[in-house]
Amino acid sequence: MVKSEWPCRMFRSVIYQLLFFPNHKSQETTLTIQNGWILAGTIAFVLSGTAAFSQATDATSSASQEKTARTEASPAAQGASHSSRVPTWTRVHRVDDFITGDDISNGVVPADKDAPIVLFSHSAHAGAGVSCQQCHHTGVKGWEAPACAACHKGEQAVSVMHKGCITCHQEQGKGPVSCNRCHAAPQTSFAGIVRFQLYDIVRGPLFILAWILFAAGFAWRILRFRRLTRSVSGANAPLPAAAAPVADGSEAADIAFLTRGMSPMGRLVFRARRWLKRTVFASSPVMGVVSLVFHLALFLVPLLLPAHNILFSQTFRIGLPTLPEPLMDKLTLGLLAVGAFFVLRRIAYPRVRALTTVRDYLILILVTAPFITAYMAYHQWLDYRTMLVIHMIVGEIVIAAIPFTKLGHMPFLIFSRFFMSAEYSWKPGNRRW
Amino acid sequence: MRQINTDAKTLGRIARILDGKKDMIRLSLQACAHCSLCSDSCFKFRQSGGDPTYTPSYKAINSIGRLSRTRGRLSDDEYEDVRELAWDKCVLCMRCYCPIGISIPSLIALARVACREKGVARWYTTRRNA
Repeated sequence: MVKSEWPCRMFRSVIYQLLFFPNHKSQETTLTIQNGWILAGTIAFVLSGTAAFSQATDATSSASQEKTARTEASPAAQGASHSSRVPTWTRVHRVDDFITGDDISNGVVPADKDAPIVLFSHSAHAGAGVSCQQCHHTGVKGWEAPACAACHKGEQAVSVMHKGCITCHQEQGKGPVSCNRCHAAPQTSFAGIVRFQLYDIVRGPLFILAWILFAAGFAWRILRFRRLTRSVSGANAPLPAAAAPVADGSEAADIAFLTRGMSPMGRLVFRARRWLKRTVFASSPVMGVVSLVFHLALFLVPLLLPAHNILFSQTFRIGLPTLPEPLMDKLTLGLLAVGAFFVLRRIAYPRVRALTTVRDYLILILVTAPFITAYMAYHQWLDYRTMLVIHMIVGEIVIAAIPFTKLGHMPFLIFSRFFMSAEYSWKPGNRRW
Repeated sequence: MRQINTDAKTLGRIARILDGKKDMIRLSLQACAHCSLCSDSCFKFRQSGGDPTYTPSYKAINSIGRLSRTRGRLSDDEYEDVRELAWDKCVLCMRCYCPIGISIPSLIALARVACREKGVARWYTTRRNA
C-alpha cells in the first residue's frame, strides 16, 4: 500500500461502514430491548454533552459578568479576586457524605438529613476579601490534611460549620446569622436543578435502581441458561479424551507422561502453555493481552475508585479496598486508548469489518462514555458538577444495560466457561445445551 | 421484496426447528461481541488466506442468524448463500475457539438441519450437485 493512501482508505471504510453495512443487508433494524438501551444511553450521552457544553459557556459568561459587576462596584475587591474564574454559588457539602459504615458502627451520629441545603457563594466571600484559608482546612497544612471523614463527621461537622460561618459573620457584622437565611430557597433555575436536585436523585434512587436492574437482569440471564441447558451425568468423561494424546489416561496422567524428566519449573511452563493453548492467548496473543487489560481496567477502575467506594458504603454499607486516584487517572487513559484501538481494529481488519454493525460502535461509545465523562470531571473540563451528573447518569445506564445488551457476554461467559461441559471450558461443568 | 420459493408446509417445519432452539440462538448471537478472534482457530479461514467470510462467527451470523430472524423465509438465492456458508465454508470440525464460549459449531449444525428440510444441502451425487 502506498504510504499516503491509508488515511483515504480508512476514511472510505468508515463511511462505507456507517452508510451501507455491506454484510448485514438482511438485519432488520427493529426497536428491541437491546437497541432501546443503546439508544437511550447514546441519546443521554449526546444530550448531556450538549447541555454540559452550553452550561459551561453559561457559567463562564455569568462568572465574567459577575466579575465585571464586582469590579465596577468596588475597585478594592479586585485584589481579592486571584482567579479569573471564581466559583459561583455551590452547595456546602452535605456532611453525611463523609460518613462511612465504620463510622456508624463507631457511634457517629448522622446530621439531620431533612435540613434544607445551604448554598454558598465563593465569589461573594472572595469579593469581600476573605481568603480561602480563612475557612478551608484551618489549622492543617495543605496535603497534610487527614482523611476527610476524620473531621467532617455528622453532628460534629455541623457544629464546626455553624461555628465557623456564624462566628465570622458576627465578628464582621456582615452576612446572615439566623437559620433560614442560609438554609434557604430551593434552586429553581435549570442549572440549579441539574447541579443540585438532579445530583441527589442520580446518586440516590437512580443508583439503586441501576443495580436492581443489573441484579434482576443477571438473575434472569442465569435462569434462562439453566432452562436452556440440561445437566448430564458423566458428561466430562468423553470430552477430554478427544484431545488427549494418551487414549487411556486422564489429563493428569497425560501431563505426568509428557513432562517426565522435566524440572519442576519446566513442568510449570508446560502446564501453563498447555492451558494457554486452549485460550485466545495462543491464537491471538496481542489482542488477547490488550483485551485482558481492557476488561480488567473496566472492572477495577470503577470498583476500586475511592469516590465510588464512598458511594458504595453510603448506599449499600459495603466498601472495597481503594487505589490512589492518580493511578486511576492513568488507567482511565489507558482504557480509552484501548477503546480507540478497538474502533480502529474494526475499521482496519477486513475480518472484523465483515462482522461489525453500527451497534458495535454504539456499544463501545456507551461503555467508554462513563470513563470519558469521569476523566473530564476529574480534570475539571467544562463544568465539574454538570459533568459529574452526566457521568453518573451514563454510568448507571451502563450498569443497568449489562444484562440486556451485547454486554450480556458477561453473564454468558461465566455460564459457558464454568458450568458448561465443553472442550474449551475453564472449569468443565456438567451442563449441555 | 424477497421472492420466497418455499411451500407453507416446509416453512412450518423449518420454523418449528428454529423455534425449538430460538432462545439458544438468540442468546448466543446476542453474546457475540463481533471480535473475530474465532477466525484464527478456523483452518478453513487460515487456508483461505484470511477471507473474512470464513470467520466462524460470520458463518454462524449469516446462516442461522438470517434463518432464525426470518423464520426460514429466505429466497432461493439466500438459501444458496447459507448453503455455501454452512457446507462449503465449514466442515464442522468443532475446533473453533470463542473467547466468550459460544458454541459456534452447534449454531452452524442447526443451520444445516434447517436447510435440509428444504432440500438445500451438499449432495455427493452427480444427480443433485452442480
